[in-house]
Amino acid sequence: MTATTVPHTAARDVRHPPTRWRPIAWLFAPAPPTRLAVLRILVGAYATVWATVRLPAHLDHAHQVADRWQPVGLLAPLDGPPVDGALFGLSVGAPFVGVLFVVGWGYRLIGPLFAVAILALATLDSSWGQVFHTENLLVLHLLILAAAPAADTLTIGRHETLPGDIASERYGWPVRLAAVVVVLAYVVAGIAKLRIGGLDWLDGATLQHWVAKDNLRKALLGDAYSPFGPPLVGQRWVFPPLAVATVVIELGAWVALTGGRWRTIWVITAWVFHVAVLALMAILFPYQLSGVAFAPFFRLERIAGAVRGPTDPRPAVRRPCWVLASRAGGAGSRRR
Amino acid sequence: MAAITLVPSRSVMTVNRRERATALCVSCAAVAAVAVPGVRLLASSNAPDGFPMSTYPMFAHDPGRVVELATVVVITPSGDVERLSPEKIAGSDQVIQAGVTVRHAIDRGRGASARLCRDVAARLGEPARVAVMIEEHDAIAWSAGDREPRERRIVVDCQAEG
Repeated sequence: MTATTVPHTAARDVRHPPTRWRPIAWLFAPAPPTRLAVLRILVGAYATVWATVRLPAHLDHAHQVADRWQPVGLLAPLDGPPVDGALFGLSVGAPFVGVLFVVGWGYRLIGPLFAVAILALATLDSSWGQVFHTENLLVLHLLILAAAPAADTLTIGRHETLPGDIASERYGWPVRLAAVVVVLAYVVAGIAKLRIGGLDWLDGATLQHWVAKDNLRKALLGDAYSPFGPPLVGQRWVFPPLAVATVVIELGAWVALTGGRWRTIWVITAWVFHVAVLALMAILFPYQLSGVAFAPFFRLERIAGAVRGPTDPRPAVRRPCWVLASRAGGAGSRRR
Repeated sequence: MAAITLVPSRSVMTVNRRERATALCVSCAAVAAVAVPGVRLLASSNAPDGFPMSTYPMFAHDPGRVVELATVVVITPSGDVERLSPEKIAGSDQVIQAGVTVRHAIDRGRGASARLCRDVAARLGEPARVAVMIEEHDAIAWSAGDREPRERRIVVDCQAEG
């Protein structure tokens, strides 16, 4: 794939900002390569730690009773669990490949390899009768990164040929797509509550029952349960506002794509929502709670800039990210 | 009111047609992977869940106030119930999968339940009476401190030798 450099005049577009939202132009808004590279590092580092921490559990899949095997997704065609050798290689190899992914070494091969490895491991976790929803965004982000030029900078073992940190259409779309995927996942979760539970879901009874049941289930199966959930179950009045807030956060996720204050408010609110889920039900969504799931909403090149010092002396401009940066210059090149 | 600051001209790298087409294909696939289960859910509330293409049905249906839960426990000589960990029950650190394992064994019949009982007994490593059982609880009452089940049914029990 090749890239060309064309002159661009931003001032014209600032005087005449676009009024109509165009999805393709929005998707291809230029961004600096460091934004995508930092996302690769963040998501890759998280996935590497995940694969390392989960290594004993992944190896334990070899000891599962085969008749519990209920494969989903990628593993659905398999009649039985993977053979022990493949399981061992996948489980042990993934963290090492993850390190190469983070440093950007051999990315054309390592990127897809690591994404597929994590997809396979997470699918394996969900192939024993219970589908988990904690790694969906991680896997989708890795697959997007694997298909993107995410190792054009901030790499080890590769001579960088980029002319500085110039914004390009090549580097904007994967980050924006990762953000869209986050938004869609929350919206689908909100739709599920109203489609399955109906408007009754908003009266809070379902949520109250879930907090009670989930902690009870953990207690009966010898697991740690929340110290805060059971006492709160008796406070019936708490649950209607919690239920409404949950659906508003999920269906309202699209505001995060508008950028600026609304994005920040939504991200903080969604993060607090996951803290509440942890506090009331002892259910951990580590990808969200770590903040990495929400990283695509932000100008991540600032992290690299903070590490290696400022490189762009241009003045600050405040504008929402939905203003089409493909017409108004590099989205990532503006400072807010 | 914030003043508009003009941004000086700069170079922006564009992508060629092939690269743009690839990016669009990846984008459409990623959006479809997340959105299609949602659309299927709109068409039918029974749309199947999957991974990573999910309908995200967490906490969507009402489990009700009275719940029946399957578990495996140790019954002491005095008749008390001692809880076992998910690792002991199912060889998994995931509590939900441990619950699903017990439920599936019970659903498959007495033979599968007895096999699960023996597996758990083997994992215990000490003499004990192990029981696969179903407990019915009022979850709200349990949360308020009433830990005794409304009903407890032993499906099968076995002896761990140690």
